[in-house]
Amino acid sequence: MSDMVSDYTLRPFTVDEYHRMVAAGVLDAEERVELIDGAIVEMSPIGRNHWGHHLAITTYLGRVLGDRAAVAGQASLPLRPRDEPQPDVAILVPRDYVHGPDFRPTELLAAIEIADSSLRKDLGVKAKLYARHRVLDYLVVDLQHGVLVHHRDPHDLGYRTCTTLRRGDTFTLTGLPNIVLDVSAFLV
Amino acid sequence: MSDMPSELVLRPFTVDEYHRMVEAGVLDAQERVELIDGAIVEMSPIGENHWGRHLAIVTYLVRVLGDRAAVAGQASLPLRPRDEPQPDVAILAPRRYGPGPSFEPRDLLAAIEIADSSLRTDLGPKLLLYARHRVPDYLVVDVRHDVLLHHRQPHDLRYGLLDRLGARGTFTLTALPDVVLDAGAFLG
Repeated sequence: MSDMVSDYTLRPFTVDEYHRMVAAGVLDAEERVELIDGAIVEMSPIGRNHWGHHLAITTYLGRVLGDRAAVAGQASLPLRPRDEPQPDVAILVPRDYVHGPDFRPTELLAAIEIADSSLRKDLGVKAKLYARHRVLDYLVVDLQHGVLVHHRDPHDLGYRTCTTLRRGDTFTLTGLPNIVLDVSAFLV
Repeated sequence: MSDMPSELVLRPFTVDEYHRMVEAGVLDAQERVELIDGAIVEMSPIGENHWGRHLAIVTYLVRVLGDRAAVAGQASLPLRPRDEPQPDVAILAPRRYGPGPSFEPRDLLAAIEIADSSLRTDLGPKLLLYARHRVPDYLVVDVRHDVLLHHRQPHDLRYGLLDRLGARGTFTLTALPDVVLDAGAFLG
């Protein structure tokens, strides 16, 4: 199926149509899929290494950010009109998200993807997606090369600043400028 | 979205899921879309030239085939598990196709696509689709080169035989061997 895509124009879906597919049972609410630029795509399976990193990063962020931000592990984030990514970790404005579809794009302070086999996707289409929704900071944990790629200054087509960080380096997020984060905590 | 990045893997849909999308109102029943190998793709718009050609071909076939076959102009044909093409013209076994899921794949005697801008898809993924469902004859009216491409003997990966017919050529369909058809009636 991946071969035919270049010959055809896919029928793009909106966030609302995507939600109606779940309501109608066409998509299972637990399915590992994302809406990227109107296309419903499968998420890469979580490898063993990925799983451990995910836990370590979520735990670290929960500890250092405290009540300054909410750290979400498997959140499906509607970014209208036609994106709904599910970043490995989302750093959100701290408030109660329990009641209904009240998420606003400006509440997404930073998105984090843990990239093993998905590196090309995470540095390509995913970076463009988060940039076009003006997500201030986008972090890619590159497990293949043992580095953390920190994207900042989003504009329509991508991020203007892209810094490759290594173990021992520190950085801050645009939305939380006085919390210094440790790169080593992301590269367990 | 037409140049969808190759690093994304689409979530494939089945014929039944595709129908549920129509029932749920995610897709409009009148929408010009097809299900091709699990992907929901947009059909190319009908050009002026294409429209006249379509009418001429349907008129000709209805006349020469009489009650030997049914000629359908805009039929959406479920070919499970995950194809539902809408060939420009479908030649079907002559019986009543009432409302509901009465169509059987073996009812499709021949599919015809009128190819102008869609030539690459009609000779690519569309050809593979009809071959894998063992549609005995697949005709592509190549408007640009003014030839009729007659594909026969389907197997898993393609058609075994291809005849290129000019305006003076004649041919027969596998399922209707004693009706001689005029290639000129399909061409300008």
